[in-house]
Amino acid sequence: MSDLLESTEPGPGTPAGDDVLVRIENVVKYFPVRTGGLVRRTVGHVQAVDDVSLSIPRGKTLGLVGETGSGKSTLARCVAGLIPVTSGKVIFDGRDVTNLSRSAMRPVRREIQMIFQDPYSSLNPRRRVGAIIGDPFTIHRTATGGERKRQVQELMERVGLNPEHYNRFPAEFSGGQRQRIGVARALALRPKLIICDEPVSALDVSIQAQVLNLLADLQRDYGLTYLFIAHDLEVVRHVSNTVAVMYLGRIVESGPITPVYDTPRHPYTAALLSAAPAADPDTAAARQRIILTGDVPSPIDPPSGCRFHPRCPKAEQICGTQEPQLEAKAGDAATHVTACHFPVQAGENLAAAQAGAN
Amino acid sequence: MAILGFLVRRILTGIVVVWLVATGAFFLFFARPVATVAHQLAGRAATPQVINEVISNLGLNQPIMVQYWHFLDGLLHGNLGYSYYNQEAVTTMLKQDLPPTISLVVGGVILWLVVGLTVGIISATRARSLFDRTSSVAVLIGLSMPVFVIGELLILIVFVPLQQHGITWINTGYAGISQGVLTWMGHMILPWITLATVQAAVYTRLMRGQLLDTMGEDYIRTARSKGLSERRVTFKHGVRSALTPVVSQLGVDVGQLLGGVVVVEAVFGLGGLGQVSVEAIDTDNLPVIIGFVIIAAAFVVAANIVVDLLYALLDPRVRIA
Amino acid sequence: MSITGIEAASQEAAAGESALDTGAAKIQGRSQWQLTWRRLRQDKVAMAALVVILVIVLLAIFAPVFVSFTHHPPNIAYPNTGEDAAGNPVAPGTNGFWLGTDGTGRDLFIRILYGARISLFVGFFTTFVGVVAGLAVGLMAGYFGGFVDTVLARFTDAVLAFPYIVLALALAVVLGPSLTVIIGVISFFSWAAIARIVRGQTLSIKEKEYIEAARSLGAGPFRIMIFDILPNLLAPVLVLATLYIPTAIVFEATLSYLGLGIQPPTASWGNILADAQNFYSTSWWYVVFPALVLLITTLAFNLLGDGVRDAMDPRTERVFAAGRGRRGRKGREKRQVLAEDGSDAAHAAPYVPPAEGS
Repeated sequence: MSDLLESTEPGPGTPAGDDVLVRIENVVKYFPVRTGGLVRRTVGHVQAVDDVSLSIPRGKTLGLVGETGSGKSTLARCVAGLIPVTSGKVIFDGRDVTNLSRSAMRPVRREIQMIFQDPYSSLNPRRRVGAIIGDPFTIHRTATGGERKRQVQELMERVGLNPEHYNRFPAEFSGGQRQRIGVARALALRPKLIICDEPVSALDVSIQAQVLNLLADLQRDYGLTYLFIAHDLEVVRHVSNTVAVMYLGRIVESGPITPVYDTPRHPYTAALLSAAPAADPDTAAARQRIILTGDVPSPIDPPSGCRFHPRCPKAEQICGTQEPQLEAKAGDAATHVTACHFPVQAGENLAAAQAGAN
Repeated sequence: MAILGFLVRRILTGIVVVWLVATGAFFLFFARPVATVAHQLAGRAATPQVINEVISNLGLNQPIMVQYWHFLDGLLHGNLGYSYYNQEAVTTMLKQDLPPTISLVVGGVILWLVVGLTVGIISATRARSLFDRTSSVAVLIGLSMPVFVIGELLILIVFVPLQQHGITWINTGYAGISQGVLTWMGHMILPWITLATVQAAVYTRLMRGQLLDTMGEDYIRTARSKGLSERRVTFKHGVRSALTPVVSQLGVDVGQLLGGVVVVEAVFGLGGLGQVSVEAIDTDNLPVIIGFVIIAAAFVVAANIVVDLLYALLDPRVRIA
Repeated sequence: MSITGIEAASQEAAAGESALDTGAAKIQGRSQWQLTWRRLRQDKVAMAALVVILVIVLLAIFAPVFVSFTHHPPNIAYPNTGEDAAGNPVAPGTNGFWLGTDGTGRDLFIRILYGARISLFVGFFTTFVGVVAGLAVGLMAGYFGGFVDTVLARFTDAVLAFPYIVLALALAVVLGPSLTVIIGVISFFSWAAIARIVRGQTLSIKEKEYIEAARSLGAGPFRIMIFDILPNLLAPVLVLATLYIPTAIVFEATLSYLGLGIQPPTASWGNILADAQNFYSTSWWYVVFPALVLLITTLAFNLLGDGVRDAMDPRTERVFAAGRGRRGRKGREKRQVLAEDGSDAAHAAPYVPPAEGS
């Protein structure tokens, strides 16, 4: 039981007192688009992640929000080292872990783990649950045989599974339980950072609450840091300390939860928030939805200047030519930054502006 | 026009393949101690004098690359070497042995395709009927049998009793068409059935499976709903798509076909290329085997080109690639 | 808002779940193998085939025992008792020759038994080589992709299309006909079909999330291939192997028949049948018995292979399996359908534990 109360110490490379665990600096990830055939020429690039900089404080949760195609999953995999970055840096615990070779990355892998979205395909159906959760111990040779089984069963208990189900197959568990298996697997080596790639999106709402509470408990007990990716704003609000909003490969707004949710500065953030369903029918009726026109453009040929400008109700000429910088707008705290030439002002009614513009 | 370019490319590739095979065969056979090679070339019954003759005539003492050059040179001039055992040029020998093989291949392939595809189509269109179930039992048995066993059983069950009753139309051995079409067929009918059986079984199963899958597709349902007759739907749409995997399987099966040809010739004593080559093993007759290897390679390549053409004709998507 | 409101309900659900779990203490998940075996056991045709195969194997192993019964070693000719006046083989039952004799007066039954040894040995050994090599090539081609895949896949295709007879002839000329030549030739072709299927499966399995999860844990390529991909391949490979054995046996018989393999006086079904051709009109048993044994053996393996394939995947169309005899079909239709114990997670809905004792 003593294992459970252990908390993580700061990494070797960290100056004492530095409370930023992960620094993402100007990360760019382009995927080349090639023609088929014998000689494959590169005809373009999918600009999945375009110059993103973020930092994640130790022991906190950064929520990363965006639609499908915004690049958030790609960014997560860049941080986890699963795909190489095209340019930029990922600094983890004071060490530069960008594009390391597989062997150099190995020790880092003990400290960065991932929880995946689909509970049905993230576990190997042909392996027993005990083996799946025990994988990290085997791979990094930290425990064998009986000791490993003991630790696995401890983990199972900790995440709310019956340790006697050690020999069961994933097919014999429900979706929520499978996600707990994933959590147990991620937790095995007591990582510092856990990247949660839409961990509850595939679950029923009632189960979502359980898993989110489990994640919150674990963060408290083990001092974990989370990069939490989701498209559901309410989930993000529930779990995050800070939030970053991504659109088409770029961060459009980021900052602590409350200011961003209470006073969103970027029109896109405002639109997203307006579209989130409200449980209270009165609130829902009072809220005016900002409906964005058009579809999300292709990341191969993104719009010039501000990428959001074709759909933005406030767009003006400068938006199409000059890319806005991420900076704190008037009246905001220094940590609440927005990339917009014409940020939403307090009391401004975007739905009306949209109706006016059309 | 695209087809022409396609054809040219395939022929060029084919020539390269044949060249590679010939080279491989050459080095396999000739890159050995001179005495061994000479002995084999001269034939088992050769005296030391003949062996020395062979060594000097064929320049076996020369460096291997020089020999290789002469070999290639000979190939380009249509010269496949000389068989000391038979005292004639290999090319002459093989030319004589070609007719039985061609008769066998042409007849056998036609029979297997016709039977295989027809039974396959009927089985698919009448799935689970008595016909279907009977044919699939037959398919399973056909698949389990080695070609030579079928041949032997056919001889035992058909040929021997007929002979004993004085009916001599069906015969073993080979008779060319020049001796009369009926006579020719009488000699070929059992070999054709033997060669075709196993392959027909494979293709029946393949065709049936493919056609069943295709007929379940939505576009077939659309065709039916347009009011086309069932026969039209099956043949014009269903069979045509089901045919493409069958055709591509053909390309792979050419190798099997060659083996089958050799075996059937051996069983029925047809004396074609295959049988001659196998007998060459008994007599250590290296030149004949080299000749066979090269001709076999050329045949496989040619057959594959034909198959690819057929495939391109059937599937318009391929032509663009 | 919405989440906290449902928490109460979710806690109830969780309580219910764990009540179910603790009740079913120490349950072992049934592996796919156990499930497959149960289904196979109910397939009468496949079981019959299995019995036939076992009988033949036993007969082959205990061949020397039969020699001591009949006092006729396999390679000894008996011109006095084993040949009639004209020098032809004697009929079954005469002079203590259970199945008669062959062309030189040797005991046909004993020779068939010894031929079985060769056939079974070649069948199993070359299939084993083929499986190992095929798995290795297919896994590497599928997993590594790129250049490795192109080279390996092209090579595999070339081998598949290669006319076996040419290779057999060439090797026989260079090395002299023998068992070695046979094993070499058959092994050369045995791996290609397996490799192709393994490669295809690997390509699709590689994209699954649990493989990504394994990489994020720090697993190296070989660990992933062996522990994560391979278990998902064993089922189709087993079917392929079972179906390849009769191919190998027929292959050996054919090559020996042509004189390219086992040379007389060593007995092989192939060379027995080759000599039998000279005695069509006089001694039908010389052709019929070896042919029958060969046929029965290959038929049995084919039926068993089909049965294993059906048992692995309960969703295959059962009422009509190509090539199955009527008995088999009736047997299957009468059989009760086993509970879908979630043997294939990719298709399974969330697991609902079956009532105890089902």
